[in-house]
Amino acid sequence: MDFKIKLHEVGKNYNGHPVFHNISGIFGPGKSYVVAGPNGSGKSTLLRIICGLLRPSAGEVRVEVNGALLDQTHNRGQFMGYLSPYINLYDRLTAHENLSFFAALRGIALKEEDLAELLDRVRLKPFLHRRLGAFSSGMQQRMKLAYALLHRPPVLLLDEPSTSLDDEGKKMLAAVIATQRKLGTAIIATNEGEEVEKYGEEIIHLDNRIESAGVEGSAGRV
Amino acid sequence: MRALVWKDLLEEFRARYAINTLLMFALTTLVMVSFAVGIDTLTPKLHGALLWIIIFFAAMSGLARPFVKEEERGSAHALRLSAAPELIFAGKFFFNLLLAGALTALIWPLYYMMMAPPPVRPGLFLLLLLAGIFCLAAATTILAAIVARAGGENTLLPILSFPLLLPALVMAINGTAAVMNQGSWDEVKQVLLFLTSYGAVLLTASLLLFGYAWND
Repeated sequence: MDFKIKLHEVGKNYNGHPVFHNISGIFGPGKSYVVAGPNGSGKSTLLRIICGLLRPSAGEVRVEVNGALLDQTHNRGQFMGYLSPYINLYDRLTAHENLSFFAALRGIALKEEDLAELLDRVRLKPFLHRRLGAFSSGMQQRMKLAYALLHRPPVLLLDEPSTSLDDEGKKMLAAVIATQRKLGTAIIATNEGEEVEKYGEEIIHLDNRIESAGVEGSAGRV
Repeated sequence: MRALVWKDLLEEFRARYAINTLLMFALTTLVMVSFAVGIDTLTPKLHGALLWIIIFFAAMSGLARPFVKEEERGSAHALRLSAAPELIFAGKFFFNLLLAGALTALIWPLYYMMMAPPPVRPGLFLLLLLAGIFCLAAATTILAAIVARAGGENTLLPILSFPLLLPALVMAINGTAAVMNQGSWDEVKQVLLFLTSYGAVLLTASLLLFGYAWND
């Protein structure tokens, strides 16, 4: 699949306070990108803008798939998987019910073996019929990853993906990102130095000290 | 859409938040009104007004929950990325319709037992109730989405809904009075036509505008 995510002079303000501005670059297939920067530099905001959950205050994000422009949030959602601390699933439903629900909503005919395979990938298979309310925070994070991977998206957006994960979970995450690199692309927002080095084939540096950023007048660059 | 209705029903069945709130509100209001009225006989118009006031406020206390819950929990973003806004609206509308229907099905027998209204023709009265709750669900679904996006609580919903639902409530009260007065089919037909048309207009406008309320 041929796709490009083009950022052109993207900027975001919250109530008049600039978070970042002038971010330009192109994300393409076959790579993993890291969005790095300190707390409050706008890493999560940038990911939310890319998947269409937020509108930029300036500039534009163009998502082109096989020449077609995806400008609606739900259209981008079919093409991107998004794991974020801002997204939560349903505590009163089981892992099986949550994933079946989102599969039905996306129009995916999910077989039981696909579902079991997906949960096996995030090491949650034994907890298929347990309600999310009884999951630990690490298990909830794995579940969010399963939600992001459910529709086999070409683009995976991961916002602080290793939060609450144990060592085994971090290994699982590394395997998921390695596979995703072959299938499409992964864009990871993190402020963990180790992860920046490990996954950052290309790095977007966000810096909330805008005037001292690498490119004149910019807060970031790809 | 069926998946969304099923999910909301399953959550509601497990939490029983909305239905318990609605039921408790309806029960306490009915008990208070029946004590206040005592052995006095009410006119059909007053019965109609009381019944629809109880249905309206009971519905307002629970119908915003589906959207408010999604925003508070953070699952609204997952929905936004998974389906078109129209599909989400349709799912939430049908859930609200079912909830309002269940609520009315609980309120009417209680009202009948406690307030002893005049006898009604069941078929005609059922049509009237259905048309009324159709209007209620059509108006409250988009307003609940707006309230939830604005970070508001359920308390905002009756304030926003009241002007929008006032014409429908007045007609539903008149229709109920007509049914209790053993009015003619033609008399009630006018009310039914108004309620279904008004509900359809609300529903169409909501469908067209929902994307803006949901995504922006």
